[in-house]
Amino acid sequence: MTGNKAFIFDKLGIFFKHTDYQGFLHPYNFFEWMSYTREAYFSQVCSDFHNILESPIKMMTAKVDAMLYDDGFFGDSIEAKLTITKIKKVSFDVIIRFFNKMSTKLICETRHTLVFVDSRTNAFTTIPKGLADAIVEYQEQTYI
Amino acid sequence: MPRILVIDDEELVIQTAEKILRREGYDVVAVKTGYDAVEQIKQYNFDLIITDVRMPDLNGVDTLSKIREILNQKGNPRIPEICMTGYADDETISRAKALGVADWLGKPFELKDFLDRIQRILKHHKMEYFSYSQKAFVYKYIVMLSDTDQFKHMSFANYLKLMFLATDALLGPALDSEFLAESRLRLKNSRMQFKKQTVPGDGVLVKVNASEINTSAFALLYTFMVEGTAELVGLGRQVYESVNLKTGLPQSLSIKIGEILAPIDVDEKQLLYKY
Repeated sequence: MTGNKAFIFDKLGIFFKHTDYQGFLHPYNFFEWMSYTREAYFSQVCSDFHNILESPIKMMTAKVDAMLYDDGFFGDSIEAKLTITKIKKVSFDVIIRFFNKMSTKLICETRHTLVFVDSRTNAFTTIPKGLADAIVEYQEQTYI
Repeated sequence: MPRILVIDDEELVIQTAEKILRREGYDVVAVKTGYDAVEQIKQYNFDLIITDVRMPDLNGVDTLSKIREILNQKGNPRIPEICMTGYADDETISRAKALGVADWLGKPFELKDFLDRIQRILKHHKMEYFSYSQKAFVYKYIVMLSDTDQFKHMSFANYLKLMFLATDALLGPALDSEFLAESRLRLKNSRMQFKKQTVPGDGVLVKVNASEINTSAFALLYTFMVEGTAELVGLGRQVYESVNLKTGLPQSLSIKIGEILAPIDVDEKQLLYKY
C-alpha cells in the first residue's frame, strides 16, 4: 500500500548500456537508481543533508531487499516513488517503487534499511535531527 | 576428535579443564602463558581456544590478537575463541568485545553451561567450515579505492555488484549461445545484509552456494568474507528463474546449469546464517 505523500524521481530511462545480452534491463540498475533516488530525495527534503554527509556521522545501508515484477527494455522511461517506513531511533527503511511510465506497471520494489553510525566511536547514533524531521512527512503507515 | 587449546596461568584451572574436557572426548592442549599458546598455534591446528583474560606478561586479549595475526599470515581461517575471567577492567572487556570472540564466560561457571557452550560453538564452526569451504563456489575480489565512499569503506552498491559478478562467473559457462537463443535467467528477488566494512586492499571472498533447486528455479546464497580472516562481511540471497525468451513462461533448467548447481547445493535450514 502506498502512503499519501511520496517523493517522485522521474529522470530515469533505460538506455543501451542498461541492458543485457538479450536486450532486457539488467536488475543491477535498480540498485544504482535506488541510490540516485534516495540522494535526490535527501537533497530536496533536508536542507542540512550535505552538512550531514561532511560530518563524522556515517549513513550506512544495512540491508537491501528487492522484488522484481516485470522486465524493462531499451527506450522505457522509469518513474521512482520513494516513501519511508519503520522509523526508529537510529534507523529507518526506505521503500522505492519503480514504475514503467508508459504502461504504469510496477516493475520493481526495493526496500533498504539505513542506520547511522558515529565514525569516531563506531557506535550507532540517532538519526540527525534535520533528516529525522524531514522524513516523517513521507512515512508510509500502511506498509506491511 | 576436536582439538582445544586452553590458556590459563592457574595450575588448578588447567588441570581441571584438561580432566573435564578429556572425559568429554576432546583432545586438549593446556598452556600457562600467552607466549606458549602462540608457539602452539604456529605448529599445530586447533578447533577452539579457551583463554583466561587476566594473565601476567601477555593477557588473554593480546594473546588472541597475536594468534589471529599468525592465522592470518598462514592464510588459515579464524579459530573460535572463548574468554573466561573472574573479573577484568572495562578496557580489557571492551577490547575483547571489539575482537568479536565467540563467547564470554564469567568465573566461576556451571560445568554444564561450560560444556554446552563448547559443543555449540564447535558444531557451528564445523558446519560453517563444511558449508562454505568445502562445497561453495568461491569468487575473489580485491577492494579498490574507487569502490569506496567518503569514509574509505566499500559502498553497498559494490557488494550488490559483486553478487552479480560472482553469479556471472559461476553460471557463465552454462549461458552459452544455445541457451541464450531460447531462454534467459530472470532474477525474481534479491536480498542482502551487511555485517562489516571493508577497506581498499582487503580481499573479499564471495562464497556461493545453491539451494531450493527445482525444475525451473533456484536460489543462490552468497557469503561475503574477508580473505584470510574468515570474518563475515555480508550475506546475500537471490532467486533466479529460467524462462522462455519468447513466451516469458518458466521452463526447465538446462542440464548444464543443473550440473553447475548440484555440487554446491546445500540445505539452507542446516546453515549457520539466515540468508
